[in-house]
Amino acid sequence: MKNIFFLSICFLLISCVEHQDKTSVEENVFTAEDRVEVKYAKGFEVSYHQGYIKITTQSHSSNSQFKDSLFLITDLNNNLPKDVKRLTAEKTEFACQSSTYLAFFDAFKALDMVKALCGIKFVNQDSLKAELVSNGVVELCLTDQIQDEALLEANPDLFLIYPFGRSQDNNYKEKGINTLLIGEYLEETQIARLEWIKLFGLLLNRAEEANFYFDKIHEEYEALKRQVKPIEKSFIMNLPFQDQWFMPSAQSVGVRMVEDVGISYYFKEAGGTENEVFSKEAIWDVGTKADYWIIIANRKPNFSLNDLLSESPVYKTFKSVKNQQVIFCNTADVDYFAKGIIEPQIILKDLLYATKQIEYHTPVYFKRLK
Amino acid sequence: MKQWKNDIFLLIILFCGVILLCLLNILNGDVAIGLHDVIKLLSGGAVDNPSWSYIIENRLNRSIVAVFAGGALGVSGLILQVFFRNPLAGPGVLGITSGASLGVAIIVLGGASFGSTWGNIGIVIAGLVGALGVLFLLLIIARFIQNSVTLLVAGIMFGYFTSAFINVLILWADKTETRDYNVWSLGSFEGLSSFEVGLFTSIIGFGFILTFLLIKPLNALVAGNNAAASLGINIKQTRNLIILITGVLASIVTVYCGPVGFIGIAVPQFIRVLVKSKNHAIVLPLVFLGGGFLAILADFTVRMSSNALPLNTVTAIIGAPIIIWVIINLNRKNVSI
Repeated sequence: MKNIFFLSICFLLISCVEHQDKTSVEENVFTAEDRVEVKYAKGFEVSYHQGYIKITTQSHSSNSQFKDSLFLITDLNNNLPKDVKRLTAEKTEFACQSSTYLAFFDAFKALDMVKALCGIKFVNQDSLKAELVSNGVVELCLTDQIQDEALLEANPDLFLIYPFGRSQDNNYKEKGINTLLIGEYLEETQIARLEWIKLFGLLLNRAEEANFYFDKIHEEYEALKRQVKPIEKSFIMNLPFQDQWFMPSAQSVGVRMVEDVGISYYFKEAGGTENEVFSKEAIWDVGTKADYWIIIANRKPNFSLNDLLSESPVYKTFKSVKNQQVIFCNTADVDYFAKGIIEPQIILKDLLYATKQIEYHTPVYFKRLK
Repeated sequence: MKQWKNDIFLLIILFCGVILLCLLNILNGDVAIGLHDVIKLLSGGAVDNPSWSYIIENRLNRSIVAVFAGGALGVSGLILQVFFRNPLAGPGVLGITSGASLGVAIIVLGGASFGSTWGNIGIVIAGLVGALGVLFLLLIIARFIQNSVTLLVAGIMFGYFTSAFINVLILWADKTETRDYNVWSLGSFEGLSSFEVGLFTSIIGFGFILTFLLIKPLNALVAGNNAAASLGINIKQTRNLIILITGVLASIVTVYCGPVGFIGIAVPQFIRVLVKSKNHAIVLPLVFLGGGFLAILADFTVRMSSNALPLNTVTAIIGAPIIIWVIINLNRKNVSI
């Protein structure tokens, strides 16, 4: 009986544990001098107010519905309600659910601000991974699941999360962790995705650098696009997955990026924003007609055309294979999904070179398979 | 005599059904290829679109693989049900498939690729070792446990154990390896090259021929081990042969097609309802054809859904009701489960 009483008291004590939020004694504020203006991205908005900057991230397609906001304090005397998600300009520490956000931090040489990450072992760039490890970044995830204890241990000021499959946003709020939904992957053009660097610039209180980086890359990208002469040629994309072949939507960043070099997508009539699934044999049939075959896949280093043919002999009937017009991005070698976001001009140049529209260039992401 | 005639008639019906479904599987698909072109291609001729010969070859190969895989699973299920004297025994339930899966998982999640020659050889050997290992352990346990239901539970526990071990391996593996393993585990009769189809059918064909050595022992084992021994059956030799045949049949299917569920249990039960004969000389070929029929039907359904339905979903939709029916039937007969 005594034991039961003792245990009951213990349970009561445990349930009464008080949770404390991260506090700072002295608070710095964000600067609003260098303003960012969002021109291409549809997934976030920035508005300037007396005493704070409001960042809103939101869905812009039928794929998912979400809206989130964060307030960056520019003056401690503001009239914001207490319960809104806010950040002051102390040395902000971040946790990231996706490794694609790392490219933005890396652009500002601010990787040391990342304290926790989901999937450290999946970071493609060895140098980046080594830096994360030496910074003592906490692994947040076991498989795809976020480990709450690891997150609480990292105690970030802001947890950047992706919107799909998400409903526990409020859960984190209860645990004293601010979150912000980042849907940069939902943008429909490379430039719109690149523009998310402005949001990261704001979070790091480095808006001026963000504006400069964006303008520079954007200008280079547009200058390259001006060299493009539309050619009457078609392309298909990627590789099969067992018996299914996932063709990206005509609205996707990947497809639009390739279309920027003047060739047209074989499935451009397909509506919607999601991948279209075809049977393997349907694409085998189409492959005999499409001029180019653009592949983004993870394969062994120095993957060659012969390696591709050894995956399936039917590929030798493809027009693109016969004419050596298979353009390949090996994600085992290059960080296409992260670093590629902030280097669209290099990707475009690779594609222009691969389609023989420019003469001198050393390919980085996309190479013609030989 | 009439009963014999009925069974032969059923054999012919099933054979024709399998051939018909194979033809449907070859003639139908997302790419419309006319009968004239199909005949031309099958007789070695050429057509305008060079990819069509590969498409037809692919459809033909997967049809052959489906028939042989279904047949092999059905036959190994039948043998195990007779040997363990349990209608719910089968390569999936007894953990043999899980054992093969563990072998495959160790190799694939350890970094070997399905595409490479050495990877494939390693996967086949590991799958075989895993399946035979579990079967061997079950037979050791069977020496101490007389109750077949308890043995069945032991098999299920092996399945859980191997699944847990595979989950641990997945935590260590990288994304590509995990993806390869997950795709394989969904099950499919697709993707084997003509050389692999030749190897696959040869091994299963040889295993099936070996099962004819078991006809007499299986007929005797229906009455129980003691009765079989009194009829002069060498129980130890029979047991070894059963381990070898069912292990090879189940593991070769699991390695090449993934862990295909339900066929191994459902088909022998279904055939027993249709056939009154207890003679395994007739039951074995019928179960082989029945398994082949169910598998090609499942594959045809998968393909007609534009591959949206995984193979195991289709076999479960067809197979699970049959198994539930078996359990209800056993309950009616007051057999404890």
